[in-house]
Amino acid sequence: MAGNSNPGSHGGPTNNAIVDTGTMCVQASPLPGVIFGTPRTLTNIHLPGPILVGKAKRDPGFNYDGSRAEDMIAGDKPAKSAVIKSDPMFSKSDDDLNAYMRSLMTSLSIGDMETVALEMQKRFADGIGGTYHSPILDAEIANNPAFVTYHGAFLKRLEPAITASLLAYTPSKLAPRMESFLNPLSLTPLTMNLLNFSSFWDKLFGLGITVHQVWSAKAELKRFHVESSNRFWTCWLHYTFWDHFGLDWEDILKHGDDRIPKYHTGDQFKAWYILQHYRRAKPFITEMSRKVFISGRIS
Amino acid sequence: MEIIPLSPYQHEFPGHYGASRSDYFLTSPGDWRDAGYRARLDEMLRKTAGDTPKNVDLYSLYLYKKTASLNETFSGDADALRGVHDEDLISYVRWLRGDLDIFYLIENGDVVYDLLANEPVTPPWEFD
Repeated sequence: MAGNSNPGSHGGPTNNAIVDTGTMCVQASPLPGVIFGTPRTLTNIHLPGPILVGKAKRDPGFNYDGSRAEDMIAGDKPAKSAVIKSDPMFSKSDDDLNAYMRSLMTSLSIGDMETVALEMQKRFADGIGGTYHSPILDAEIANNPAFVTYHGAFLKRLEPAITASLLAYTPSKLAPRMESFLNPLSLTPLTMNLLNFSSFWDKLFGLGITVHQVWSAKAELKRFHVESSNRFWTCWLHYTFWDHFGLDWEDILKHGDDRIPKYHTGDQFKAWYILQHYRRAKPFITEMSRKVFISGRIS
Repeated sequence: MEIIPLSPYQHEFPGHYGASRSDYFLTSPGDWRDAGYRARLDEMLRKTAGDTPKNVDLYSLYLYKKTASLNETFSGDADALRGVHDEDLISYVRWLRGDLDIFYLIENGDVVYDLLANEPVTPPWEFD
């Protein structure tokens, strides 16, 4: 292998074009030092990720206290909801209850989101469970003002955290891909709040009924790159949000008497609850994702 | 301000994060916007928890507002509280593996103040 002794603009060694016999390597990089400290030996970094940089304080399917989320439980006939057994809705067939629930979906969604809402209802009625993902839902979130505000607030906290971690960065001798697994930025994941879709437009277009408020969230960096000569970094920020497509008793206490947007809206919520907790339908987890290209200066 | 144990005072279960315990309490409501109230609540709940968080993987403390149906005579279990009296929840505090990592103040079912960050939660979101 050829030697490497060119001084860079900051006095440190720079990359030299070489060819390693029998390898794909066409350039040798010097061993990295402290990247932005003293001496100012700048080094490019490229980490494929994912690097976890944000997380909500509860996981999908579970409450904050670690117990199972009630809206993800099926067929349990909970004692606290026994009163629903004397409701006229309780004596209806599964087919009728599913028709009520479909009507709830169509009354609170429009266009592509109506397609998604009905797809979700069918998955629920068929008792499939598992995790549901829809590119239409992803796109709907990406364009939602609540997400834009949420992302802005998160970025305001994330950017200084990334800069601080870069200033303290000590490179390891591991390959970048391996290093990615070891939280190379030493960045403690930030706490993420829960994204809420409760505006008038969310209720009208479909995010209100299909998601309403996400249950859990995480944020990861991928393809994290530091451009040493110009002192900036770039990466993709990947958000993942989870919600439960299911109801708990609190939902019935809140919405069981609703008369808006339709006279039978309250009954439609009861149909959903009865199908889940007293019949054979199964709730499931909805996963939504969104990636945003971000960058920042290191100063 | 007084914090009274609520039945069930203690709920132990194997949870998602390991051995878990939740304790439930009652108090008279105050105004979370008042810094003095927040400071008293902070001190009292930490004192109430004592060393318990060190004995389990996850320890939760629920503080409810005293109402006509939620008072010293209440005899329901944890399941009878969750999803039924959520609107009366004033605070939720959590210790994960001994570290205090959640201290929320709640109003009408919405998280409105984060006592660990010491700032209002904007916009508020549902504690469900």
